[in-house]
Amino acid sequence: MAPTDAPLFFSYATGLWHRALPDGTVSVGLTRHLLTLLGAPEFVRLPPPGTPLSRCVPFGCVETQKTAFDLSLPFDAVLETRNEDVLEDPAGLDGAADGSLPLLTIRPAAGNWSAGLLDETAFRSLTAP
Amino acid sequence: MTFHFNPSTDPGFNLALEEAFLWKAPRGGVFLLWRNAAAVIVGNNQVVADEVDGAYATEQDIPVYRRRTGGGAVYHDAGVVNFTFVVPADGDSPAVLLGRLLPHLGVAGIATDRNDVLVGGRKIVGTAQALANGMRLFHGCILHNADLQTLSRVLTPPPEKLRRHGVPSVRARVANLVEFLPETTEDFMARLARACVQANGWDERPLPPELLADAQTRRLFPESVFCE
Repeated sequence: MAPTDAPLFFSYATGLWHRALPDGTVSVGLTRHLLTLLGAPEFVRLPPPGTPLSRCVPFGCVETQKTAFDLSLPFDAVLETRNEDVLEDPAGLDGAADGSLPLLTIRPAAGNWSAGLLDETAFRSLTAP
Repeated sequence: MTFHFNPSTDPGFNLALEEAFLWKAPRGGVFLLWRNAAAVIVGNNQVVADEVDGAYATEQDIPVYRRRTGGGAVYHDAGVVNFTFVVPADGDSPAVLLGRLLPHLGVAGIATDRNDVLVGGRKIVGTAQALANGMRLFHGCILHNADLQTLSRVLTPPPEKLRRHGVPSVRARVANLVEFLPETTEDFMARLARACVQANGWDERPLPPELLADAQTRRLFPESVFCE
């Protein structure tokens, strides 16, 4: 899951950032904005690779200190890979910059997956204190 | 913020009602007060068999429900008073919300960094949260006059060599509020409601019929207590 120079796209509702990878998949992670609201992650639950993920349907969960947040995607996709290191020890997510530590990679069902998502400028503007 | 008293003691319905408020609460927020019939309520990411004595729960006819919020397993009965805040996620923190409740418990309780409340070093209030739809569901249970013997027994799972991947409960010494302030649970609930409404300027209202109907449709069903 090597980072690329591709731009980040954000979903405020799902609390996720998304970045296109050269092989057509998309890496996905938790936004700093969401992590600030949740606190330091203590547990992450994800389904296995190959699981179809439907738009706005919860597929996993992040739990911080007694706070649960259901994970869902803003578009249809299939789960390609999971970040097993993060699953084993989610504490590393705390403080991770947007785009730096993905939870998973997915293969979108449609090519225009970023349509309707926020670019970085719009997201920063929306979430500015 | 509006205050609603929920008279239902059906855990499946009550958890669904919380969920309904999470998706349709007014921006000003809501506060609910309610109780359940005897039940175990496990956290979102817990493995039931790791947290519950399944054989005892079955024998005593104590159902197990899974809630949306995180944290550990709790035991509810008529002596446990539950509260729920549903507020904007970027609004008041759980510590601030708990601060609206704490002065009215009637005892000198101390809030911990886990947003629990201790009296004399023993836990009388446990809390948990979920974030969704831009809102925060922050709820907790107040041990007023719970059956602590059953609580201890049902929340002690049989020893297992292999613990499955889930969030473990954090065990704590617990106490009932009635040890420090004798009154019936009904009187306690009424006093707490009155004090919170007056001190915080909340608007007491009946439960919205559309959310009651929603909760009835989405009523939760008990979990299996044994591993698959």
